[in-house]
Amino acid sequence: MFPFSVHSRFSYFSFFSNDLVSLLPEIFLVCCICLFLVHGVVFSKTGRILSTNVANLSILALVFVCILLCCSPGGNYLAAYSCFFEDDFIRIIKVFLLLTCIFCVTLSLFYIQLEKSNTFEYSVLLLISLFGIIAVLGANDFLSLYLGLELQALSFYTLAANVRVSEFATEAGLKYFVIGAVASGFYLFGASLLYGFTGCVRFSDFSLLLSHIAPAEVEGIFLAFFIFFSSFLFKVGAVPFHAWVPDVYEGTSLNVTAIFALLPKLALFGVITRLLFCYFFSLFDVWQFPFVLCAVFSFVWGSLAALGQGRIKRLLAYGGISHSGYLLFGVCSGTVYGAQGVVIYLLSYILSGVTIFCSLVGLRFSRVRYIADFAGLSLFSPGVAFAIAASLLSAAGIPPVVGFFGKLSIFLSALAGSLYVGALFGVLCSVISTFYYLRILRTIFFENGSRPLGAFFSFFGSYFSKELSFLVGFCAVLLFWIPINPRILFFISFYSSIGLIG
Amino acid sequence: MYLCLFLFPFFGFLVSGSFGRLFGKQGAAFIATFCVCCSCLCSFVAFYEVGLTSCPVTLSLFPWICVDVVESFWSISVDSLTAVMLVVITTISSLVHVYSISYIKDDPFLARFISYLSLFTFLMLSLVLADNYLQLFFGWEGVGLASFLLISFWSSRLQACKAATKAIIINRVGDVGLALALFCFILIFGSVEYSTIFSCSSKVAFCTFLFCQFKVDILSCIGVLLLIGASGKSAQIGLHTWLPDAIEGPTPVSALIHAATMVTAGVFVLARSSPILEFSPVVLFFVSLVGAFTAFFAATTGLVQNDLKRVIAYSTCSQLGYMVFASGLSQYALGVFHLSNHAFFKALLFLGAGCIIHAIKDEQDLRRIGGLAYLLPFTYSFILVGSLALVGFPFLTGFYSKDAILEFSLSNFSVTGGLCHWFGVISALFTSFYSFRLLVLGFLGYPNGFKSFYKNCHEAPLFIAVSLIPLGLGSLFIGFFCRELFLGAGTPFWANSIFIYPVRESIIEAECAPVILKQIPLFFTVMGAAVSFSFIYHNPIITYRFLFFNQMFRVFYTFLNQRWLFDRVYNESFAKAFLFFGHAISFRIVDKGALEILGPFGIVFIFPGLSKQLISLQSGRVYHNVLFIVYGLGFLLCSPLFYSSNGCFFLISVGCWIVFRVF
Repeated sequence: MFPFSVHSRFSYFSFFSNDLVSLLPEIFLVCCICLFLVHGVVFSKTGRILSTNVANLSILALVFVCILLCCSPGGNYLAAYSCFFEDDFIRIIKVFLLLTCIFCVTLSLFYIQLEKSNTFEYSVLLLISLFGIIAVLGANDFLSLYLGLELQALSFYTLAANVRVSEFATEAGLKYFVIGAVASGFYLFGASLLYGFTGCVRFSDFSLLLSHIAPAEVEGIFLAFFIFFSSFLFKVGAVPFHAWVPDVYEGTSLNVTAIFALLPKLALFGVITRLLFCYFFSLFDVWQFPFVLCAVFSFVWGSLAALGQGRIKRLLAYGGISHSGYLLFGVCSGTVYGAQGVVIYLLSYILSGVTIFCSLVGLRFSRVRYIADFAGLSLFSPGVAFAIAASLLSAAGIPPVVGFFGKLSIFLSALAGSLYVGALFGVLCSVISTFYYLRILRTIFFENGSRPLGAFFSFFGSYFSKELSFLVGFCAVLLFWIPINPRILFFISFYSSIGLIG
Repeated sequence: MYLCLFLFPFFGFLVSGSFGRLFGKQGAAFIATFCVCCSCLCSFVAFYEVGLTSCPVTLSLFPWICVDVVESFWSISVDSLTAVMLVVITTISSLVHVYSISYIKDDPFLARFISYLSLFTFLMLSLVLADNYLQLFFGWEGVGLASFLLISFWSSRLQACKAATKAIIINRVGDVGLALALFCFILIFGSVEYSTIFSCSSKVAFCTFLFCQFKVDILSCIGVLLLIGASGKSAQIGLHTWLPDAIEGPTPVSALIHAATMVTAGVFVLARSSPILEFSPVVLFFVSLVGAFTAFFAATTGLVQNDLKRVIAYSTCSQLGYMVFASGLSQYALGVFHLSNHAFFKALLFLGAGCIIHAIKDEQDLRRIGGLAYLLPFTYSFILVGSLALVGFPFLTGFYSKDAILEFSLSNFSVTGGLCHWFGVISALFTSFYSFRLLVLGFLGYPNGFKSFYKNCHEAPLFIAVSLIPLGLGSLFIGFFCRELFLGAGTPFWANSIFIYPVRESIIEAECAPVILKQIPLFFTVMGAAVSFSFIYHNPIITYRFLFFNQMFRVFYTFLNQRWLFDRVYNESFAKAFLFFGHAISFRIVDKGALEILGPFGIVFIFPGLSKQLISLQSGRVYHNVLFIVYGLGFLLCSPLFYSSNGCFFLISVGCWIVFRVF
C-alpha cells in the first residue's frame, strides 16, 4: 500500500493550517520550556543565580500562554490526528490551571529565595509538569493521555525530591515514584485490556461503541474500566488509593506541597468528569455505586483522620483527601448540576488552597509546623490571620465564604441524583471538618500562651514579599467577594458544564 | 392618619424602650403617653369617618407571608367593629398611660413599664386592625407576650412571676385553638383573608371534611376551635384560671389588659367571625353555654373573695361571660356594646382600686381596710359610680348593655335562651351582692386597718385623678348616648362588619317583651344590694355566726372561696403529670440521657478514637500502601458483582470467611 495516501497527505498539511492555530498555546509553552532550559544550562555556567530569573520568565511565559488560550478561536475541535480535543469546559479549566500555576510559581519564587535553594530547574520542571497536565486535560485517546500523565508524574517525582539535602523530601519522592509506578501499571493494564476487548483507543469511539451494546455483553469491559480508572483515583487520592498523600505532602517542601495539592486536582477532576460524563456515561449504572462508595469513604476517612492531626501539612493532606471525596461525589451524581458543582468546588478549593499555602509559605520563617504554633498569630499578623481564617472557613464550607457554594452545589446535585445517604454522610463529615478547621482558628485567635516568648518574635521575622502579600490579599478578598456577587462564578461553572455536554 | 394611628404606639414603644435612658424615666413616659394620646385622637377621627359616616377603610401596607395561594398582607382595615375597638383600646390605653406616670413614678424602670404598655397597645391595634387571620394571630400572640411581660413587671415578686407564667401557659391552650382554626382556614378556604373566608363561608355551610377518617362539619370544627381560642384569651370557664391570678401585676396593667382590652379580644374574635359562627348552630349553642356558665361561676366565686382586686377580676370574668353568651345568642353587636361599656367601668374600678392600694400602703385585703369613704371621698365616688354602672343601676352605662343582654336572651325562645337568661339574672344578683360588699367592706364599714394606714392615707394625686375623670364620665353616660347607635332597631352603624343570620334577629321580640319580665334583673340587683347591706353592713355578726356554725354553709363557702377547686384539680391532675413528664422523661431520660450520650458526649468519645485508629493504619511503609491499593482495586473489581444475586451471595460468603479467619 502506498505509504502516503491522499487523505493522509491532506491531514498532514492540515496540521499546519488548523492544528497549529488550535495548539498554539501548547506549542508556545513547549518552545518556552526548551528555551528556558537552554537559557538555564548556558548561563548557570557563568555562576549566576538563575532561579529568580527563570521563575520570572516562566511567569511571563504563563501569562502569554494564558492570553493565547483566551484568544483561541473557540468551539470544539480535534487536533493532531484526533489525539487532542478541546471544548469550552477544557478551555476554562486550562485557564484556571494556568492562573493557578502562576500563583504557584510566585509562591515558589518567594520560598526559593527564602531557602536559598538556587535551582532554576524547579521552574522548568513545573512548566513541564504543567504541559503534561494540559496534555492530560485535552487528551482524546489512551496514548496521549498516558504520555501526558507520565510527563506530569515524572516531573512531579523530581519536584518532590527537589530539596536534595533533605532526607524527608528524598523519601517522599521515592515513595511517590514507587507508588506512582504501580498506578501507571494499572493504567496501562486497564487501557490495554480495554483496547483488547473493544479495539478502540479513542475515547469518542468508546462512547459510540458503549451506547450500542448491552451491558451484559461488556462484563470484561467492567474489569478493564475499573483497573483503568483506579489509576485516576490514585492520582486524586481517593480512599483506597490515598495512602501516599499524607506522606508525600508531609515530606516535600511547602511550595511543592502546594503544587501537588492544587494543580493535579484541577486537571484530573476535569479529565475524570469529562471521561465519565462524555465517554463512559453508558456505564453509569456500573460505575456510580463503586465511585459513590469511594467518595463516601474518602470524605469519611479524610475528615476522621484529619481530626487527630497535629501537623498542619498532614491535616491539609487529609483535608485534601476529603475534598477529593466531595468532588468525586459530585461527579457521581451524573447530572449536569454535578458537573457544575464540581467546577464551583474546584474553583473554591483552588482559591482557599492558594490562600492557605501562600500564608504558610509567608510564615515559613517562623517555623510553623504544628497547629499549636499558630497561637498568637492574630496578635502579630492580623492580616495573615484573617486570610487563613477566610481560607479555612471556605474549606469548611461556612456560608459567607465561597466554599459554601461549592459544597452546596455538590450536595444539591447529589440530591438531584437521589444519592440521599451519601449526601447525609457528606454533610456529617462536613460538620467534622468544620470542627478541625475551626480548631485551628481558635488557636490563631484565642490562644497565645503555649509558645515561648522567643517564638513570638519569629512572627515579626515573618515577612511577605510584595507579590506574595498581594496574592494572599487578593485571594482572601476574593473568597469573600465572590459570595457577594456569585453570578460570575455560576456563569463560568454553568458555561463550562454546558460545554462539557454540548 | 390610619398609619399614624397604627404606628404611633409602636414609635412610643421604641423610643421609651430603646432610648428611655436618654430622656429620663419621666421624659420617656411622657413621650410614650403623648404618642398613645395622638393615636387616641386619630382613633376618634377614625370612629367618626368609619362609624358615623360609614366609610370603611382598608389599607394594604406590604406583603408578609405569601406562600402558594395563601397571601397575607400587613394591613389596616377599619370597619365599624374595629372602629369601636379602636376607640376603646386607645382611650383606655392613653388614660392608663397617664395614670401609670404617677402610679409607677417611684419605680426606676418606669420607662420600661411604659414601653411595655405602648407595645401592648400597638399589638392590640394590630390585632383589631387586621384584615386577615394571620395578622390577627400575630397581634393575639403579641398581646399575650405583652401581658406576660407586664404581669411579671415586678419580677422580684414570686407571686407575680408565677401568675405571669400561669397566664402565658393557659393562654397557650387557647392559642393552639386559634392556630388550628387558622390552619383550617388555609386548608379549606386556601386563604386567611377575612373577605375571602367570610364570602365563602355560606358555601361550605354544613359541608364536611375528613379528619382521621371522621367526617367533621367544617364550620363547626372551625367555630369550636375559635371558641377555644376565645376562651383562652377571654378567660371563659375552664381556661379562666389565669385571669384572677393576673392581678398580681401592677394595677394599671390589670385595668388596661385584664379588664378593658386584651381579655375582650376573644369576644372581638367571636364577633369578627360572625359569618362563620352563624352557619353553625352547634357552635352557637356551645358559645352561649360556655358564656352563661362563666358568668354564673365567676359571679358566685366573686361573692366570697377577700382580695380587693380579685373581686374585680372575677367580676370581669363574669362580665366576659355575659358578652360571650350574647355572642352565642347571635347578638354580636350587643356583646361588643357591653364590651365597650364594660371597658370603661371596669377600668374605672381597677384604677380606683389602684387609688386605694396607693393610698393605704399596698393593702388589698378587704377585711383589713374599711371606712375609707371619709378619707378618700374622690376615690369613693368614682368606685361608687363604677360599681353602680357594673350592677346595672338604671340609666348608667351598664344598665343599657347588661339589661339588654338579658332582654335579648329572654326573647330568644329557645332552651339556651332561657338558660342564659336565668344564669344571667342570677349572676346579676351576685354581681350586685359582691359589688356592694366591696363598697361596704372597703368604704362604709368599720375601719379594720392599722392606724398607720389611715395616718398616711392620702387622696389620689393629679395624674391619677385626671385619668379617672373621663372614665367616670364614660361610665355614667356612654350607655345612654350610644345605645340607639349600637342597638337601635335597624341601626346602620354595623354595616357589613357583623353578620346575623336573619332568622336569629330578635330585636322586635326584645323590644316587645313584657315590661314585668324586663324588670326582673333590676329586681334581682336591688335584692342583691339589699342582702349585701343587711348582712355585711348591718348584721355582720349574724353572717359570721352563720358561717361558723352552719356546716352546710361553711362547705359551700369554702367551695366558692377555693374558686370551685379549679386550680386544685388542674394542679393535681394536669400540672403534676406534666411536671413529672418534663423532669423525669423529657429532661432526664431524653435530654440529659439519650441526646447527651448520642450528642456531645458521644461525639467527644467516639470520633477521636476513630481518628486514632484510622491514623494508625497509616504506617507510611510503601508495601502497606501498595496493599491498600490492591485491596481497593479488588473492591472496585468486585463491585459489579453486587448487581447479580450470585455475585452477592459469593461476596457475602467471602466476607463471612474473612471474618471467620480473622476472629
